[in-house]
Amino acid sequence: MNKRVLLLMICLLSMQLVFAQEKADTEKKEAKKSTNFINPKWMEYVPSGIRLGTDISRLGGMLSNPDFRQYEMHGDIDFGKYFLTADWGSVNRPRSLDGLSYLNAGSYFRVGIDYNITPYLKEKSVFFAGLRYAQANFSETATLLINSPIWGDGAVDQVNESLRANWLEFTLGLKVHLAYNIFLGYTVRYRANMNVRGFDNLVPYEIPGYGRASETSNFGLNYHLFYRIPVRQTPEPVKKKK
Amino acid sequence: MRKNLVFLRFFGILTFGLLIACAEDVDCFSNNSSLAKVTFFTRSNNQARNVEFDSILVLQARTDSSFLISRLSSNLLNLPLDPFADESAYVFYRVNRIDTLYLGYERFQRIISVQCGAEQAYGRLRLIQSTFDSVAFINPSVLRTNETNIRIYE
Repeated sequence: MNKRVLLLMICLLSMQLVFAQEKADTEKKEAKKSTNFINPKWMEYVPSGIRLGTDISRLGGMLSNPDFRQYEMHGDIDFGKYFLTADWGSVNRPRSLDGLSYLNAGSYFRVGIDYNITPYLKEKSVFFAGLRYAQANFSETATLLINSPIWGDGAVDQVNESLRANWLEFTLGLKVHLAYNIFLGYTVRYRANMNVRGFDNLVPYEIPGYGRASETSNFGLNYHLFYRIPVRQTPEPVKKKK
Repeated sequence: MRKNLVFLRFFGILTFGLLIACAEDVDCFSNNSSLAKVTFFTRSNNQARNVEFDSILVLQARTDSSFLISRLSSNLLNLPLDPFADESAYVFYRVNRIDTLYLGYERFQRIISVQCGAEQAYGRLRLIQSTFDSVAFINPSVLRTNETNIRIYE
């Protein structure tokens, strides 16, 4: 009899402990939820979407010259006010001039970070400033026709098979929401600290993604069209009042 | 949306300004030359002197032929460098004397611009062989200036 009473008491005590544990777990979960709602600081740095795009000005250049191939893709992911951004481009540009035949072919990439200067803009539009590291791997082929009254006429062929150039970019730009998840953007680039290596007797003329190799720094401009893939919902930003 | 339009307008103006600012300024000038300048010096007193040649034979490696530069009297000679080879050979004819000079160099191809086209520059002049007493290279880059590239001492 005593054993039965003791067993019943143990069972009741165990049940009470289980219920108490469940209650504690539920309270913990609710507390965690409420903490998230009250203090979403770390949630700011969870990406809310991926933006993919292309440079539409490059496409325009291809339309004007059918032999000219140039593409540029762009992607960015937000981490709060910061964006991890990357570009990749490819160029195949033959040129035929009086006394010169020239081909520039290769690819380039840029990686960097943008800072959203205006996080209060609605609909994920951004006005940003950023920094990029860029690198191009390319080749050049040139045939020069020489017409000399002393030595006669002839051609000189030169190839730069494997060239590598790298530079830094300071950027300023805008990505404006147009409709649905489509954005239009501009990026102004100041490219600096360029150096190119791997050439022999043909002096590099043009660097994919950079421009004239004779310039150690220059300005550039891109027009981008983007599509944003949202990953999670975020509250509409509010501009802080001073 | 209204703010976005303001930014779009702002950048439209900025773009227009940049396009004007970035318009390519074409300068077709080149200072490179294909004529190496040679000056003759007297070895004993290190003074430039006038030398009279009956002719100078220039050998063409590409066509295995030659041509003559005749009747020269100057203390500054312009020797044409072969644009199709990395060396040029010259034979100097004087009364009772024949000398040879083999020059080596590097050719650099450079596209000036799409509008201006390309050019070939010559540099890193060096001596391969010579029968002159002494040959000194003053400026290894061949330019349009009157600066001497090679000094020949006799």
